[in-house]
Amino acid sequence: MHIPDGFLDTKTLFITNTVSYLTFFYSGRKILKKIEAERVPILGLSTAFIFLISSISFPLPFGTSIHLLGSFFISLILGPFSAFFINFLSLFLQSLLLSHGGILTLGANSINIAFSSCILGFYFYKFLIRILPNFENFIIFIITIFTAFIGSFLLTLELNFSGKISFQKSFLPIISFHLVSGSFEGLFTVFLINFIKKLKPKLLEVEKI
Amino acid sequence: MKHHFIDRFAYERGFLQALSPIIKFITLIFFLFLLIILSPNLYFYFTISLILLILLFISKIPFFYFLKRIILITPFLAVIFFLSLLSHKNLSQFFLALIRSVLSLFGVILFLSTTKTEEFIKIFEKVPYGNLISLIFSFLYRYFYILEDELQKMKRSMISKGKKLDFKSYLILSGLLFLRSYERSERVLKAMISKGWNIERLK
Amino acid sequence: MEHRKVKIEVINLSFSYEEKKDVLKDINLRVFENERLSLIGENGSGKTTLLLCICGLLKFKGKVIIDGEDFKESLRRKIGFLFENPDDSLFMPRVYDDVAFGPKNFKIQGKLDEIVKSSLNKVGLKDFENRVPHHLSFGEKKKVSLASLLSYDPEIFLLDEPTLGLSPLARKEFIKLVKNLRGTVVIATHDIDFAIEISDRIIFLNKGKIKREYKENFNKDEIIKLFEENIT
Repeated sequence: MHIPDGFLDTKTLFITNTVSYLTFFYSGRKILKKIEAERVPILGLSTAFIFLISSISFPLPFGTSIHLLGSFFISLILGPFSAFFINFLSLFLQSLLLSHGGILTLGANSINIAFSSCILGFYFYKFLIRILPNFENFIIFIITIFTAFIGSFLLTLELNFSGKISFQKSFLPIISFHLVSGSFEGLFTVFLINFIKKLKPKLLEVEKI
Repeated sequence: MKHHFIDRFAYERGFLQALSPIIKFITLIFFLFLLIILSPNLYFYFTISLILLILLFISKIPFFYFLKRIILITPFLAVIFFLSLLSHKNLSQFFLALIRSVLSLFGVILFLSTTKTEEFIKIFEKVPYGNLISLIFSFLYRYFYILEDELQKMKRSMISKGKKLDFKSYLILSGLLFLRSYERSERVLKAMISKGWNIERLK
Repeated sequence: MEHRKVKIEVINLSFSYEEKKDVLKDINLRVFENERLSLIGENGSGKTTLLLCICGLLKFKGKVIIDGEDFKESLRRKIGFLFENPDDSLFMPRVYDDVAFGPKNFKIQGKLDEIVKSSLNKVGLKDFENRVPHHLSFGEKKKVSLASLLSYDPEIFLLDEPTLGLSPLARKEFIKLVKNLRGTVVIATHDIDFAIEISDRIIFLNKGKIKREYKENFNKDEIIKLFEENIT
């Protein structure tokens, strides 16, 4: 879920935006240091891809709907910082074009969505795959759900800090909503990774930056 | 296939269209900050709304289009409304945020619909890593609609072959779409290089 | 013809993709200055790959010599590659940016605005600078792609399937444009009528090898028969 402008107070905005913009520029530096020509168009096309993925929403009961993110999937393909970088840009455009989230809340939203699934997700994956190398699909699925959990935890925290909702009372509904969308995201990620493994394994060897 | 581009009102001859994009963007950010920082005052909000409505009018953006864009935000508002009900918070807090949120969106819509996309992309050439960012935005703008068309075509072909569209078929479509984007990126790279582009241009 | 200056020389060129071996096998070919050469052959016969190799876009075995020099980056300015799908060669938000892309990279002398204007005029698309490629017809996109090459005035044109997917009218217009190109033109095409109309020489490729070469007085039936004989 993306937080619209107006729902976070000054201190929360300050903290989240600082963290997020620093990560963004750090990622930019990291990408440019190692970038090769091949990577440029795929960064662009991947941004278009995740933007398209997130603009398609599926209806759920009670008038709500979910859409997928593709963030963790992209970080498995391109690496954590490239994924964060383009996800940040995609979230920025989503806030402008689709009214998913706001401009000043971009920091918070990119932490909840991009930071948790691209960067944390990627390193969790790296860690777990070393311990359990034979359970790749399971690990991918679990991590997607886990990052959705972290994201919704941060979301509740931010809204709570801004005095809009109470943490204790809202945590459960927010978490359960995100676990549903997280499971769909998990299926999506597992399916796509296997799909690519079968049809274009070369793509999985792209350098992870 | 025909698409409604987001900047279709940017070619009108209106008030905001004539302003420099960078000034509009800075004003927008400043405006969003003001909304958050200033203590709530209904008269202030009323004045702001009036000014924004006048801007909407003299920039020749149809009111109906504006409404359609505003409505997109309602699901998010509904969720937060539900949560603040649950939290037994004072609802005036929620309505205050709602006003701020709608006014912010109002500002965003005014900025976006009066700025041509290529001018919008140019704004970002000046920020750090601007070359990379504006190139990514250019690709996004150029290929988003093409990907969407490809998705529609594949969907139709699936339906015409008697396949029901469910989550599984959506997954297959996304996978194919990603592969196609990747293959396209390889061809685009060749086109860029053949026209003399190289990675040094990003640095 | 032989006394003319050799523009492109291909020596013992072989190429394999990871997933497909021997796409091109020991190709030897000379293209003369201002010659118009067509490569024909079935799908997968290596036409496009050969063009990509000449343009230095693939890593191959053998040699490609342009104007007496081994391939190097600075030679790209002399070559204009027209891709089969104009959506691949037009990757910028506006027609202007696409046409200006080459001149900017190659640091071409002159005012960019004027270069873009005159290149678009040459393909008959006056005042198209601010159009969005997505809103153009397929034929218009093809013409813009050509304009984006004309803008840096290459000496060699490599055209991959230039007439594919064009309506009869657009095809006629595009053929006229190709006829007016100044320089050496190498075309990969399935369009035999087009090849016959435009070429000084036609080369038939089959499974990565040069099978037959025709010089002038082309006979369509003979060429089609050649296709039938080489079906696998």
